[in-house]
Amino acid sequence: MKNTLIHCSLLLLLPAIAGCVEPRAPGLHGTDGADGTDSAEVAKAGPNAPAVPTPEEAPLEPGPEFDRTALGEIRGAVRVDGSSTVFPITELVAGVVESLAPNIDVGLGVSGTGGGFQKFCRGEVQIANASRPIKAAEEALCAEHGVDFIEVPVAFDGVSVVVHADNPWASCMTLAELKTLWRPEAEGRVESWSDVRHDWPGRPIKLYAPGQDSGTFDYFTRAVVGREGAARSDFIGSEDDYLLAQDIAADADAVGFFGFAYYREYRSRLRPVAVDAGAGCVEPTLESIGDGSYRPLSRPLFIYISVPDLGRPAIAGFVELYLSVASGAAERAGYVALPPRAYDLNRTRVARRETGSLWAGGSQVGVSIERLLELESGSER
Amino acid sequence: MKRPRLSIRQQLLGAFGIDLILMGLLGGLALVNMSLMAGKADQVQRYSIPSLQNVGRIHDQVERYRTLQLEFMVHRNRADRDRLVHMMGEVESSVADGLERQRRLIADDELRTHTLQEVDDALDAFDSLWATYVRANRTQFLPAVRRSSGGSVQPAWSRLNPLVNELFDAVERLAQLDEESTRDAMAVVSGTHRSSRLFILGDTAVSLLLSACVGLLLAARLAGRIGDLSRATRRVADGDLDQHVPISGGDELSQLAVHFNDMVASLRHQHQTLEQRNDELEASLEEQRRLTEDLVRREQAEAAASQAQAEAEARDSAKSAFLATMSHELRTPLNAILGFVQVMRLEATHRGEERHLGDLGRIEAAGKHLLTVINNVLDFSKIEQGRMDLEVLDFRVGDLVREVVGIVEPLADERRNRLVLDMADGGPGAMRSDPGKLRQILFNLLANAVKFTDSRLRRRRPAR
Repeated sequence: MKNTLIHCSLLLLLPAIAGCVEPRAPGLHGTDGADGTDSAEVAKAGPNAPAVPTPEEAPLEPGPEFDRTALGEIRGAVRVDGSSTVFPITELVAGVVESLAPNIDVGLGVSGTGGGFQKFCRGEVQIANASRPIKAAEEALCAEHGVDFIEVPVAFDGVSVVVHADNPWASCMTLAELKTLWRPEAEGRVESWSDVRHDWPGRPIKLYAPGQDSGTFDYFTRAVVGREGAARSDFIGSEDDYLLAQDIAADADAVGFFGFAYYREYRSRLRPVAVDAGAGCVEPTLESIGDGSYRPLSRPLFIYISVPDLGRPAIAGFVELYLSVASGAAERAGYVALPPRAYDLNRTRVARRETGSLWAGGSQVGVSIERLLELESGSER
Repeated sequence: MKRPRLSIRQQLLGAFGIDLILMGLLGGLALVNMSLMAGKADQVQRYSIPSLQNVGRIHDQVERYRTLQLEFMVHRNRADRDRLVHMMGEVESSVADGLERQRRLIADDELRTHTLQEVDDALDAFDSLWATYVRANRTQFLPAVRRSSGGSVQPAWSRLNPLVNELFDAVERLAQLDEESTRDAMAVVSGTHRSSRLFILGDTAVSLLLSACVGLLLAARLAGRIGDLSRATRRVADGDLDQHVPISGGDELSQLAVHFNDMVASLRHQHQTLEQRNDELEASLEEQRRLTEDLVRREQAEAAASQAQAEAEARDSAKSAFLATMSHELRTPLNAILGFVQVMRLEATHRGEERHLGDLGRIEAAGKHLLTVINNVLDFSKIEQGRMDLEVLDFRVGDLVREVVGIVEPLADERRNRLVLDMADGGPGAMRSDPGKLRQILFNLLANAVKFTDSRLRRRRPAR
């Protein structure tokens, strides 16, 4: 009896509900164009908005001394490719460029430092993001294609060894342990955490690392194993540091490494492993990276600028803007910005078209910001 | 145990009432449970199912959005990308519609519970994540892909993975909450069903047991008490009037027992009265028998007496008859004698032979006297026979007296007595009586007086 009544009332109600809902639908469709702002308002109202990959902040702008007047007139395309570690910085810069010089068409790809240099030296892209200095072979390739380049350090990074947030044991590893874990001989031998350190659990150890084209991989192997590119091969590799971070965050037995900015972005789900290079355990932080105590995994990040293309206004304008906002972009991306003097030196080098690498063919381990400045200053002299 | 003062009907009604209450409880619980189940079914029908469908649609739309992002990366053609952005807009409004519909469902749901509050929160969480995702798509993903120059990896895509995962988790959470609420509702329904079944079975069993117990107890007690009464009745029927049925409670049987006891008491009393009456009757009968015997005896005596009397009377009568006959037989010759004396006297007078006249007079007088005697005897016999005849006549007293004196004078002379009649010539007059009887009386008196008197003078003066 009661059910029948409810059915009846439902039947009566349905058209009413339909009538209420239908007329509103077109209105919602009509607000399509304003949807972005609508959603943003809702997001602000949301109680627990999650960490956005790159938070909305005041837009990066060049300093007041920067002459913006001609920027809008510049037309042309800029193609950038290379390291995923440097990508966040360049992306921020690209945003600035797009807003200040809307007629510059920025193309930004990620192919790893090695992949980026391949495209760069072949003239396919005008700017290469690099998480390590150019290698001799790559220099040769560039020379082959007549691509002279200017090497510009833009930020300081610390390669961060990370584990799953729920990993309670691996809070600190010595350099030797990292070597034990990653050297080519470890393959098939070091399979569990207890193989790294005896009092760690006997759970299997899962390795994640940037791919072979990655400058980070090169730097890490040189710093830990001693030989660039020398590492066991049974790890899960990707040029996409986001994927690495997400995988490690989902695997309690995982250990991996990548640029500090990616750790920073996923720091709620990852735990950094302090590195003991003989002076005690040091966790990667902006301070430890900036003051050189996070050794030997701290390193500079670069962009390489093709000198033949620098004559084009779009490239010149892009580089000019990049250099003027690099400090802020580096910080905002999650790296340690270089001292202002370094960016001044960079500008000078670009202006003078000072080509070539300061690093004598490859990664140098344990270079501090001071040493970097010394090198740059030296080249100036 | 103190038995309640309740009548059998009240006890039966009480048992019936308890059964009714139990059945009422049963009905009430069944109603409550059924409405509870109906409510839950209603909730599932009105909220859970549409909600699950809606959440499913939202999930599909989010997936579609992600796919559109992928297509946006693949298609480098500007027209394709514009089309994809438009389709993203459609998905966004579709999700907004879904959210609106979901909020309406929650708001419409009158069975709003804390679980639905959780649904509300989950919906808010999804809403906020979705807004973030859409914003990230518009402000980061689309520009990043647009400026992407075709590197080997796509950070803009993978960068959104956590957000997308959270988004799907939020949708899953919504679906999970709906499933939980559905499961809870079903659990409530099945639990209610189970408890209802248990209660119905239990209640029925209790009702049956109670009814059976009450019925059996009542029946046993009634049977026992009726048995007591029956036995007592039989004993009373057998004559034992000292029976007393114990009285307990206040029901009809107790009243019956009371009445039975009263009846027995009354019987006893009547019995005693009857016995007393019987004794009295017996005494009376004895008396009557005795009286009868007396009567018989008396009657016999009376009969004997009567017979004796009859005999005596017969004898008397015979004697009287004899006397009468005799007198009559005597009188007839005597009358003849007298007649002849008279005739002789007349002849003597006539012839003047005086000397014979005296003697003839004496013979006549003596004859007359004899006749009188005989008449007297006759009278006696008549008296004895009850047939005394009186001959009432008007006659002159002087004549009668002179006649009697004439008769007695010779007797007085014989005895030398002198009889003097002192009477006026006329005499006292006439009187009305039986002259024969009177004459006889006078004669007897005078004769006796002459007979027993010697040489004396008696003067007879008749009284008036």
